[in-house]
Amino acid sequence: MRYGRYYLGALALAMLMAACSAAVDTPPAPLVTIPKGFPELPVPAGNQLTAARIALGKKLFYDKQLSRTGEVACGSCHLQEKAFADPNQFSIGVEGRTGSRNAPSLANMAYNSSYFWDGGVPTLEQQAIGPIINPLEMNMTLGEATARVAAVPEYVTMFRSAYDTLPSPGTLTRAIASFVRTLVSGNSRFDKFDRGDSSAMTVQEQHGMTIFFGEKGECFHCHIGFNFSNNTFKNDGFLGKSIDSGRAKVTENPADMGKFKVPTLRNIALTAPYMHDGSLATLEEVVEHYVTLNHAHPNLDPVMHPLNITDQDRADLVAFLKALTDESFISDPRFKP
Amino acid sequence: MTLMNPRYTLSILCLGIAAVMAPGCSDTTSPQQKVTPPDTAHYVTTFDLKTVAGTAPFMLDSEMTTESGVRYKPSALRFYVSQFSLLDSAGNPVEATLVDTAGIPLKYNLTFCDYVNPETQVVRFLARKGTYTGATFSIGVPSDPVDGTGFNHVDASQQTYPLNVDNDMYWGWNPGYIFFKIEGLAMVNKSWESFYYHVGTDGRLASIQLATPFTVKGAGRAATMLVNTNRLFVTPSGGAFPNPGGALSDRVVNSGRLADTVARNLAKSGFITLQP
Repeated sequence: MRYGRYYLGALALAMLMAACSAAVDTPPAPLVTIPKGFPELPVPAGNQLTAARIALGKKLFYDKQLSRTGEVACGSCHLQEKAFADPNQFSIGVEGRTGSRNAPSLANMAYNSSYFWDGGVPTLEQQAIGPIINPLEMNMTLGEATARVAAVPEYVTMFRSAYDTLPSPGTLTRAIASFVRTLVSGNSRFDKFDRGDSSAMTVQEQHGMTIFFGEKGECFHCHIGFNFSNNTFKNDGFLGKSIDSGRAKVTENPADMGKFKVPTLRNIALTAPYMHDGSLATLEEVVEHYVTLNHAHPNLDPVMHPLNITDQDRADLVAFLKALTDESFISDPRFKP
Repeated sequence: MTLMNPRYTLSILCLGIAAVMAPGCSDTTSPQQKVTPPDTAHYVTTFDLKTVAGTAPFMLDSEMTTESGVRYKPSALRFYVSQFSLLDSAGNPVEATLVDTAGIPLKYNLTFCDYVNPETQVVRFLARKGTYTGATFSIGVPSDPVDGTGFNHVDASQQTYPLNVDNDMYWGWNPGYIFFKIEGLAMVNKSWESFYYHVGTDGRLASIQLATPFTVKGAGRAATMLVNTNRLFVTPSGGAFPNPGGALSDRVVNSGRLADTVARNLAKSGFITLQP
């Protein structure tokens, strides 16, 4: 018994040391993982990233109580397994309501200079307002959304921790923006290949990449840079099945009719359906559009012309696009509810 | 050399002494002659709003008729008043800070007028006593975030009334405020159909100058702002446009040429006039 007491003490000491050792040896998970080759994450001075803000934003992102009927959360239409895009052509809002544009992927939104297909919103914080108050999406007032979260003690604690204040419309949108800002994706097989792993992409994918970045495919004119987007608005000859003025809705400039934001192509294999109205189901259909392009719109971008590529080129191009999928992004536990 | 009569000399001397002493004595011996300093105080002054539809009183959900004979039933009438100044006798703008009932400057230096809320049917400002030749102001929310005088494109989730998101005067898809809003039903081909005119974006800030003299006598009402909704549907040159009883594209407006027209009508067609 006497020795037993010593053994117990030694065991407790060992466990304590192990716990301390684990705490010292395991670094905390970074708030955001910035892939090699990506620029520094843009973060506004008024909403610096903290673990508390990101955690609060994630909870709000997945909370259906932010919609009037309690049916829809941000995460209802931006699914992690789809690179935070929506597999539906049009997202389904409260009471089954639908809009007329396809929900884009949220990957690398922090690097965008404007938001929505027409670029009407300049910051992630302001973007967070739109879906909440849109009658076709969450159909909520910010005041009611704030009141609902303020009634939940856990939220009150989290808001205090994140912003040192009670829930308010301004902190609610800032928190959601903080979480979305962390959704950074840049670890596809293309990225590994680009960083020197020549085995990361197949020969077919490499050929597709040559088409993509060469004069045969000319995709690079718009889909360029670390995020495969030049952050501009282009009329690519795709008008869709219903009239949408695109960028001109914001600028009211006839020269912007039919122009839409150039989307990132990262994780594009996961974000079907495609184009601003989600009317193309597959990447093959998208390539077909650029091959058969026959549209005399006055605002058609000057670089647009029917592509002269073979069937094999098409297949290789699609294969390359599929190499832009970032598996670690869609399984990252930091982004899960 | 001519010498003055000694009697006159004495009289002049006495007058001179009296003249020198008089000002000094007046404070104590002649209070009725006291010089009153100019009243430089600023008084909480109001322009009270009165809304009509032509010669008929304006009422929500009641039938009115435009000057061109279109029947309509408004269900909402709301707008922001900003960039408010009075015009002095020379016609120069004189600062007139917009304030609340206690005389405290309004946070955004703009007033929100919502017909459904009687408490908002007034433009309250600080002014000195005097006669003015008119007033100048804008309908809308100015945009000049650089020097802090404009708020049209700020993050609305961070703002309070009347620039909060939930005030139903905000566009989430194109961040900015709806400067002016009238909604309701209009008779279209013997059927009541909805119409709305939502006017916003920087270029449509409607600047109004009212050259109607009025006097500020102290705190309280200085004049009445007469709001005539029928003048929304009349162009500055007298045309009947836009037509709330017309095609859908004529009665559902938030941008483009029709929004330009409504903004121009707001500014130049006598939508608001001043009555002393």
